[in-house]
Amino acid sequence: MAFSARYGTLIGLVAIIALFSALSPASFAQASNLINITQQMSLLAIVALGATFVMALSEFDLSVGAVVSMAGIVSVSLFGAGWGVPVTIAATLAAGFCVGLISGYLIATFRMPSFIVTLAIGTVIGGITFWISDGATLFGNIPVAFRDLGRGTLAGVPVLTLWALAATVLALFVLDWTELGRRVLAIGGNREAARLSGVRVTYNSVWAFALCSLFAAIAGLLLTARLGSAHPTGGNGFLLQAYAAVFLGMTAFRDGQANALGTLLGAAIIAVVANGLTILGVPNYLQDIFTGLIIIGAVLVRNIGHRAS
Amino acid sequence: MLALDGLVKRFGGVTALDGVAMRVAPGRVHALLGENGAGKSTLLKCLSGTHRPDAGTMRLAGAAYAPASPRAAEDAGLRFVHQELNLVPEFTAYENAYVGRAYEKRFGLVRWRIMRKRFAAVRDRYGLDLDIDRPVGRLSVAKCQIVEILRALMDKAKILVLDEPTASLSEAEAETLRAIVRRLADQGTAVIFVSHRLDEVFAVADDFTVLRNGKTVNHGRLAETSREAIIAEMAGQAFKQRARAASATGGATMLELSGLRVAPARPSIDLTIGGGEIVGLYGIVGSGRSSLLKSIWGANPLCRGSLVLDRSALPRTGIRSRIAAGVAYVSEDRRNTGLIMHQSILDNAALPRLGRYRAHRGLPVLSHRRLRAGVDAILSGLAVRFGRLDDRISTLSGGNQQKIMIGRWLDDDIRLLLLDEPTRGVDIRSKADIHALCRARAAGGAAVLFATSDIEELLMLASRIVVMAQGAVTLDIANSGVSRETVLKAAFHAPARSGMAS
Repeated sequence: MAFSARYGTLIGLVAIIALFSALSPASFAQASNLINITQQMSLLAIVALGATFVMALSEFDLSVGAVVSMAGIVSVSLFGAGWGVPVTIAATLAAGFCVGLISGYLIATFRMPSFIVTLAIGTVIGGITFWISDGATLFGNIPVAFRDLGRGTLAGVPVLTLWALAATVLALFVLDWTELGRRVLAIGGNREAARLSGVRVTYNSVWAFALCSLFAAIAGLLLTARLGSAHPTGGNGFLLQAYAAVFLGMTAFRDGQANALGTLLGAAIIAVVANGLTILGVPNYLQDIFTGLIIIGAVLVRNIGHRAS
Repeated sequence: MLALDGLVKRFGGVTALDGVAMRVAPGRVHALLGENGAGKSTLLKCLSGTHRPDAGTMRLAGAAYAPASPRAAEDAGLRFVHQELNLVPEFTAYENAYVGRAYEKRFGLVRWRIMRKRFAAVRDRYGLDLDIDRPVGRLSVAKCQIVEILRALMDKAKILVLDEPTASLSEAEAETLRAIVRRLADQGTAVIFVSHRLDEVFAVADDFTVLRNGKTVNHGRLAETSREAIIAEMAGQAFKQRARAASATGGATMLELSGLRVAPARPSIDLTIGGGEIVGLYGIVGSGRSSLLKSIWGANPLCRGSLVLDRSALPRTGIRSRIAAGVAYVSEDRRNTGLIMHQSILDNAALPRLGRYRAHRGLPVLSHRRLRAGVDAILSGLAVRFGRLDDRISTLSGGNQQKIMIGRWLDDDIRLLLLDEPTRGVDIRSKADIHALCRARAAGGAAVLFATSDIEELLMLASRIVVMAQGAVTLDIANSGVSRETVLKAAFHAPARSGMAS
């Protein structure tokens, strides 16, 4: 794989940072702002890293946004019912994990299209979330210990940034260094070939979906910790951006395969563009247009590169 | 008609074509011969406008020929039937025939009836048997191949290029195809014919060009050369296909199938294979060979019957139980069900035995160092040429891919090797390597069961011959003095429904 194909997306990120730095040296190019960006991208990165497992399987999980929202509402409700911090976190993560188990089981066992199944599961989860919360933003009495998981800094680095780094290391580890990860990539590459080689397709697929939902639930908890509240649709916006990040990431490092570092890079590009444009005073709707065009551009460049080689 | 001189094509550092010369005359069938990786496919892709040569000249009927795209090649009068099928499964044969061709229209509306009639006429002109109203997805592979060929014959071509057209055809269908090829040539078409089956080449072709390492090493008339000479030229050194080793008689029973049924309506199968035996499974397309192998492998659920490996019964289904018991399986279709073409050599070679490369035995965590060392060991035992382990497996020649597909399973405690068409579309040298692998395993006490459509291979490699027809075993005989006719007769034998067979 050529250098330009491998590192082109990374060079793109550097170029975007350089461009914004030139346009706004006083605000954008400050260390404090760059650190701030790492915090802004952290939750998106965690959701996208989860989606990377499912994309490695060549499937989709469209319920991640709903799971983020659900995790917030579930945790605040449990705090409201007087549960302690560790138990609440464990229960919320278990709930997220189970959503993935169910989707993965339906998809792998009955060969249902993941697009439809997870869209439906996401809708169901959204409904349940609304039901629990009565459609209202929940404030509850969230313990300070929990809130500290999502705010403040450690040795000058925002806590959320550290969580995102941990998630990256975990996703990288699972995809590159475990049998599960290699088998998930094999199934995503050629399901029947993997099956005939003795790979347990259902088992590994279910794990990929469960990990995806687990990461979304983690992001939901951290979002709640940071905001000190939970809204029943608070996480829905992550869905499209997460897949944008994964797709951007597939253009980097790994020759068209979903990979953890690429996803982190994709999330960074999205966050830098949003931050830079906000600083320049560009309205929100234009940011959306730019983000969309960048994704199309990245995929286009990669495909043209592929054809040339 | 077509004159190629000094063609050069490089991909990165690899020179695929290194000065190819070729002359194709109208009204003659020209066999393009060479091992896999000799440059045949690249040459065809230059002709079809998929690749542009880096140097050299191509002339078509005296004029310079440099197609910029497959469409341009078609406009110039070339027709290609590729090895892989390029059909829309949901479309019928005639709908497929018009994909990429101007539709018959009146007032802007497509005239399906006219198109169907025109296609049916072409079919009838060549006397082929084909249901043109059925979606091709429900036709057999052989029929699909016929659709592809008819599509190429829809209008008169100057040059027809056939790339391994008979690879998936039965003997009878292949014979029909060869008759068509002869007829087209007699009508003045120049035909370029790529095949690994030399008996077929000698039966149908007039002229030949042999490529080796991207160079033309010889060309001329087939009538003036011999099989042995061609093989020697392709292989590049004095190279003889090894005759069958003294047929090993089976040791203790390794695999015993009794009353096996893959589906309720299919005949039941009894088969016993001894350790050290190489059993060749022959049958025409659709005879049930592949589904038998898949059933033994546990990939298709068995309907009825029992399966005993080395005195212990195997469950009816479940691939992992087979792997644990020391069985290995290689699928017939490496592109679609064998390898993951866009992944690396490393990933593909390591996949079946990932658990071997753990950093610590108790944890499912891989050691990349062990992974590389393990795959290096697999590859070094196979004489595979490659660049780096991280290169895509699709960059290797078909023969090398096939060797990896088999070699990645091989391991000291393999007791039963199931190989479905292990040498299809593979060059002669790789074929010999694969045969040697089979013999070595059998010599080590493993049972080998391989399916093939190539009678020569069957007679050369097998110590015992089993023939299937319509899902039943119609012949089971030790391979000593078995004739082609005996095998073919059994392959076309229609077994009686009520178990009267044999």
